[in-house]
Parts: sequence; structure tokens; C-alpha cells
Amino acid sequence: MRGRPPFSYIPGEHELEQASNSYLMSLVALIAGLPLPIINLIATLVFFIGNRKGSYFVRWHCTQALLSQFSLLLVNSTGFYWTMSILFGPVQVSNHYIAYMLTIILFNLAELYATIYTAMQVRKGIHIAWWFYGGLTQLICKP
Amino acid sequence: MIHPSFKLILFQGLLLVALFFASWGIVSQVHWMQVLHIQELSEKSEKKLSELILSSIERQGEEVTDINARGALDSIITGICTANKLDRNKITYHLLYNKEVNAFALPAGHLVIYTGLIDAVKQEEELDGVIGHELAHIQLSHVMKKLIKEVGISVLATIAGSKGTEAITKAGKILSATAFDRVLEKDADLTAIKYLTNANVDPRPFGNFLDRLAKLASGKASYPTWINTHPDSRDRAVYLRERSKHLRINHRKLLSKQTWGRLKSIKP
Repeated sequence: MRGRPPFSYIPGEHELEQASNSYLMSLVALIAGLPLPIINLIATLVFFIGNRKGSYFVRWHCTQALLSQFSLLLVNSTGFYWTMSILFGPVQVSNHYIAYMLTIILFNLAELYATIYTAMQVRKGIHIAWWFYGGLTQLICKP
Repeated sequence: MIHPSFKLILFQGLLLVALFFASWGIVSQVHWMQVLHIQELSEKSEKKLSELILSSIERQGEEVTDINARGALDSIITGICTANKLDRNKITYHLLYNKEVNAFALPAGHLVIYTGLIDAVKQEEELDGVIGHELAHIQLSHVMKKLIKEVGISVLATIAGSKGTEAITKAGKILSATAFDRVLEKDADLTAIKYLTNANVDPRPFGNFLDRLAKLASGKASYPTWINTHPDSRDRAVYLRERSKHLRINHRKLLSKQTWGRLKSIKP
């Protein structure tokens, strides 16, 4: 998870705080977003848009936080739709459904841990690039 | 500035997707339905719920005790169940004296049929269709879904705990006098066609019956209950006929002429 810093400068205290907040934003929204997965994404997107003119360090971490929400949105929305189909549609509870829900809980917990860890490390000025999302951010986010 | 290659990112992404599906596959290996006793729990609460709702419904009409009529109804249900490999032992029917043209499914495989319905059908296949439709609601677990949607899971838990007479009456009314949503109705209709086809019963009269009830309803202030609980009957009759048009079945009747006559002789 810890990568070589892609920055040619040392970020200031204010930048560290803002970059760390981008992860906390998705974390806070997680509480409201549990039943509706899109809320996490919207919260992170709002923070991303708000900081799109910020320094490279802040933009980089806002982008990584945003990208990480997309895949969660996909799996959580599938889980949400599946649950609704069981409650109100013709679908029945199955072993595959329970296993899917447990798997997305595991992935959400892993993402939660990674988010908290990254927020803390970034606040200390340690750059964290996630597996896959870090590389993707590097491609998208230009200095 | 270090730029990771696109190929590496793609590889990492695919690995992440593979990890997700592999985890899902591994977790699926555990028989969660058994481990969490989901089936067992739902069967117990459905049984309890059904007993309570049934006791409230039975106040509206006495159970028909005529052996011939009951035997005839039993033959229809058994015929449909056997042809479709449905567990006949899981279906309990109740034939009640009531002038309403109605039939409905209750939790735990209970099927209630009013004598008003028997009186309203003109031929056996029409009754077979209605029974097939209600059996489909039972088999597809529509009954509990409807109750959860209309009453709420917490109220159902209260009912299952033998509390709340008002809630029991409400649940009874919901199942006997309100409609399933359109998706579930269509689902039950199409499954009923499948059931009838497998039992070599002509499904077309079922569509005709819906049409006839809809016409009857449009001319009267009070609707026959089965139409009230099954809206859009004309549309349904159209797609039922459409689906039945190309079926090649060696039509047969589940009851002999004599047995059908005995069942029809029951007056509401």
C-alpha cells in the first residue's frame, strides 16, 4: 500500500489536512450511505469537486478516494438491488445471496480499514498509494 | 514522476475483480441456509402465522364437509402437483362456504377456496387455472413477500408471537382482499400456465374466466372479490391467451364428469 511519493515537493500542513479529509469524507458518508450506496460516492465526489483546484497532493488523494468508491458502489448497489428483489420481487433468499452479502461486508470492512489507515498516514505526511487505485490515480491526476 | 504502465494497472484491476469473485465462490461453499437455520425458522413462523390468520378467516365461512366435493378439489390439487413434481403434502386446502368469488393463498402452503368461486366457474379448467395460479403464489413464496411489504416484518414477528389480534385480522384481510403487485401476478399467471400445460389441462379457459369476471365487474357496483384482488384482468386474459395459443397439449380433464358435477352441486 505504501508507495514511492510521486511528488517533487513536500506538502504543507494545510494540504495534509485536506488530503486526509478526502478519505474521512467517504468514511463519514459511509454511516449515512449504508442503506443507499450512492451516498458515499456523492459525498466523495462533492469533496473532489470542491478541491479540484487544490494542490497536486490534495487532488491526488481526493482522486484516489473517489476512485476507490466506484468499485464499492458497484458491488454495494448489486447487493442493495438483490435485497430489494428478495423483499419485494420474485427472488428468494439463497446460499449465493448470503455469501454475496458476507463477501461485500468483508470488502467494505477492508476498504474501511484501508481508508482509516490512509487518512491517518496522509495526515502525518506519509504518501499512500493503494493497489490498483493508486496506479489509476497516477494516470488520471496530472500535476 | 513514476507512471505505472497501463498493462500493470489493468492486471491489478483484473486481479481485484478475480479476488472478489474467488472470495464469493469460497464463501458460497458454506451451506449458509442450513448453518443459519433460515429455512427452518421461516417455516416455523409461517406455520404459526398461517394458523392465526386462518382462524380469523374461518369465522367468515364454515368449512365444507361434503366428502365428494372435498375429494374433487383434492383430485385437482393432487393432479396439478403430481404433474409438476410439487410436494402435495405441503399444500393444505380449505373449502369454505362463502358467496364471494374468491380463492387465496396463505403462508405455509394453505390454500383457501370459497364456494362462491366454484359456483362462478363454468368449466373445470377455469377452476384448475385459479388453483394453479394460487399454487404458483405458494410455490414462489409470494405470500410472505406480500405480507412483509404490506404489514412489515416487525408486525409479522408480533403476530407470530401470538400477540396483536388487530394485526392478525389485518394480515388476513391483506391476503384475502388485496392484490399482489403486477410483477408477482404475472409471475403466478405464467407459472400457472406451465402447471396446467404439464398436467395436460387446457389453459385457455382460465383466460376466458378472467375476461368473463372483468365483464361482470364492469356492469356491477360490487366486484367479484377475485377480480378485485387481481386487477388488470383483461390485460391478463390477453397475455394468457397469447401464451396458450401455440401450446400443443393432449387436453384432458382432471375430474370425471360425475365428480365435477358433485363439486358443482355445492351451493355457496
